[in-house]
Amino acid sequence: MSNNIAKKEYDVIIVGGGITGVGTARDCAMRGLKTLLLERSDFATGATGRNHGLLHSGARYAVSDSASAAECIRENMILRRIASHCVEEHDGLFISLPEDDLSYQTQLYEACHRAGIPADIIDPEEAKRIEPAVNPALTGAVRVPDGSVDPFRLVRANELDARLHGADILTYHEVTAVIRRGGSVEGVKVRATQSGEEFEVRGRVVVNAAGIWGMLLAQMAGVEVKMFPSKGALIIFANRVNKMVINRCHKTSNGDILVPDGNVTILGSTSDRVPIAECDDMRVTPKEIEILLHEGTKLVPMLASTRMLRAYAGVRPLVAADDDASGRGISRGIVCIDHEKRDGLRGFITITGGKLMTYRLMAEMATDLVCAKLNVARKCETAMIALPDIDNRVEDAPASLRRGSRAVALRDEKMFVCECHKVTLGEICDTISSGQAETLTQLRRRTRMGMGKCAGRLCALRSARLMCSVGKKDAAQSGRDLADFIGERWKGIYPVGWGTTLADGQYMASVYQGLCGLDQFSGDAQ
Amino acid sequence: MSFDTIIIGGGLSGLTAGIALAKAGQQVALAAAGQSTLNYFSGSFDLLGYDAEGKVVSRPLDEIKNLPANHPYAKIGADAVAHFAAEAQTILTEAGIDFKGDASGNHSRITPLGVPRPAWLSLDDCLTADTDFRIPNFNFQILNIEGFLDFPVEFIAHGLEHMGAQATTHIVTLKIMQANRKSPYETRATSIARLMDNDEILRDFAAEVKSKITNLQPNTPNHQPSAIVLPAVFGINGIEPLRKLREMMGVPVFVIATLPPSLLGMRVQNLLRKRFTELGGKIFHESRVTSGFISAGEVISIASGYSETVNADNYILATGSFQSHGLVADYRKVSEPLFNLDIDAAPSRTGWTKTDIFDSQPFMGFGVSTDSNLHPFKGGAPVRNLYAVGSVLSGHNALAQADGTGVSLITALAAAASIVG
Repeated sequence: MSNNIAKKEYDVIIVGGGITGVGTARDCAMRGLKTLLLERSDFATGATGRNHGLLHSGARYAVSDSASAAECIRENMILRRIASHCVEEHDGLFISLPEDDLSYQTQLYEACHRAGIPADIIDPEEAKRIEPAVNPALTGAVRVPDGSVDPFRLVRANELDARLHGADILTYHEVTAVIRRGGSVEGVKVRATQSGEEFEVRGRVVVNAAGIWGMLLAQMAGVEVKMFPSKGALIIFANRVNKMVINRCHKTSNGDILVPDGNVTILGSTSDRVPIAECDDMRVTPKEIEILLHEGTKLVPMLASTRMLRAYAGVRPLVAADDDASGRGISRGIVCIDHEKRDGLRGFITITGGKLMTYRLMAEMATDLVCAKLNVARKCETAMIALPDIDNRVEDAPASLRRGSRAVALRDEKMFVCECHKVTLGEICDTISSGQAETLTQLRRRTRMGMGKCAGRLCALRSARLMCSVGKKDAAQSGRDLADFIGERWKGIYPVGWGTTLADGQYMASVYQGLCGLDQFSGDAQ
Repeated sequence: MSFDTIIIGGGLSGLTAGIALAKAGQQVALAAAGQSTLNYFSGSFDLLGYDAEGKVVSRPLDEIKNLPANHPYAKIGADAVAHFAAEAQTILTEAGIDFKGDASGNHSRITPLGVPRPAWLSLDDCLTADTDFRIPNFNFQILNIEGFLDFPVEFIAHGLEHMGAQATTHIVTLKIMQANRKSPYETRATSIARLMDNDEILRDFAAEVKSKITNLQPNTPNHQPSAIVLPAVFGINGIEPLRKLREMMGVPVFVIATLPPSLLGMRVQNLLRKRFTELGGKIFHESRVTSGFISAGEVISIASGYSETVNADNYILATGSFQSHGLVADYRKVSEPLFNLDIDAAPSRTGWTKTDIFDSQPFMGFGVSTDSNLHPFKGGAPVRNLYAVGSVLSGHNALAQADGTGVSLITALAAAASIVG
């Protein structure tokens, strides 16, 4: 495959398999560009897969950043239309507590209206009625059209549509150098991380959509993008405690947002600068957990006694505003840099900042710039044309939520491998046999297997077996993969290792190490 | 109501203590609530499988002298452990549990992932390696039942081959299961075992197996003998269905434990309960003891879901570890929820866990501390008529040391012996 890729001449090479990258690949391919996307690992392994999955109404930014807020509400409405199978519409509340200044509520309300966000001030009693989990001490509430979005499904749908429009997409292919001739970027050097094979690939424009790692890619191209890795820690709870998103009605702070998604609830987040070197292996600290719980229980007191599934952290790619290298002007908005204009480097674009749910707009901005450089006149259609598979939902197959109409083909094997997320044997086998998942972690991202309440106590081993029988993996290899997968789950459990979470962790360890002897497959033991 | 001894906890240690006391003529009540760790029973009991460095122990009784002083075996003493290990074997046999192995030397069980783990006693059903950890030289025919997800045959075949045996995998279709396959709950090990308790279904299954494996070799001098390996889905109340299957097949038939729920664990629990009630013991099912009252160094009474408070001369705490709610960890501390007994645990939460799941996890060793008679402490003083047994005890690690079921059996018998006097 790589050989064919290396021979091709691309219009655009996109680096990064997060939502921004796959969204840009879709847009470019839809406009008829010969498109290649390169991702060094798997899809959605950076910030895309490590946030709270909030479908912002924009209210959160209405007071501080009206332009971002307006972007959010526009994209919110677009995603409800083009990606309804990835979105859960449940609205959100901004609640004021006795210690909060109610005048902020007025500010928020007015700012929402200026930004075009439908917002209603509602009575605290009404808020308690529509959201019984909310702190009963609340003194005020504003209702806004917040929702939640499943980043894995959204990436998958964009990736699929990009391919359907002819894009080439390679995961586990790392860019090792940017090929420059004089003041122009002409392509990239690539290393296949699994085979070690190296090759060059030519493209007329290279789009840097590598998230926080984009600062390293920019360095390779010989330009500087000043970024500030901002770590955000989050906790997933094992039950859906709230029906609606609950935000604190004050200046954005730690642990002040609680997002329901499917049958879980996610509490986020913290915000701390971290060195870039830490971004590849994020660990949640006891201090972060303390901050999150201290603030989160103010939103919903019941959280104090709700079982935690695990904690995780992601890195926001915050960027210094275009010409501000000092870092004082950090933007939380979208940053699209034309390096030809800024640095005199032709054929190189950086698209970063932004949010999960403004990815489509980011993709549009980057693609518009690519098209301008290539003299392509075709306009963006991604706001109008729905992502694949949202039609013909199969009512009784949960896979339909992930696969849309494609789920029809998977109906035969309805037994559940993952009982928490109702992932069927058919869906797991299909995902493995079609080559979409080489490891259990990839299988988890594609299907949600192992993400549920049980932390993979049965489904991970069942899937590891299917990796052998369907995926033709050697048992030793699949066993190592399983040990890695369970080890990775533990990484999310131990920071919140008390209460029922510790009890569940003990059960998981008892089954996998005690009953099964999985420790004999782990890296050290081999 | 009044009893000689009340046991709190219906898992392996509680039932074992109950049987020993009832055998000695005591009036015993046992309060059982929820699932015990027999839910994921491997089919084998372990006494002491690994030393402090993680090396496999071949002679567990010889290793007890090397254990730290706070290990339950060290508190009881090596000679007493040997004595109670022999008594445990007697108790299991009398309960109708057929097993192989003894405390003089460990053997290996084969796990569902096909790797060996040291064991003391293994149910007669199970495939094991000998005391030199060698697998018997069979040509293994490993079978799974179509639609059963909890028996990873590929791992088992790989593991047996790694140990030098030959192994082939097969899938057998059990017609009656096909109708039920829509619901995952119908394809649990324990649900299949309910079907296999029916002789007709068992015969159909045997016929299917024979039609799948046409070249089964008996043990003759010219051929490598065949043996069949099956998931442990035979015999809720005893080994009988597997014996029948062995007769029908004419070659050795072994099982390996499945993912939970464990049929073998359910069988052990059923047989121990049966034995206990036959000896006159009384089980309060679904009875979660909610609190206990201690005054002047003695338990006065306990309260449960039943309105009546009950009391006894002696009490045994067999409530298990965190996963069985015998221990509770909150944000700040580890505690024992019924009596608020003194706990051995790292004071700071950061010392409870390690980042690598397969490291020896500190929380596994947390529990109530006791004196050498297994009396737990409250406020620094031993509680004279209370005994703590099994996983609620501190100082051992069922995963890193492979001593969980052994500690349950040995401490249960030690406590019973101490009560009977």
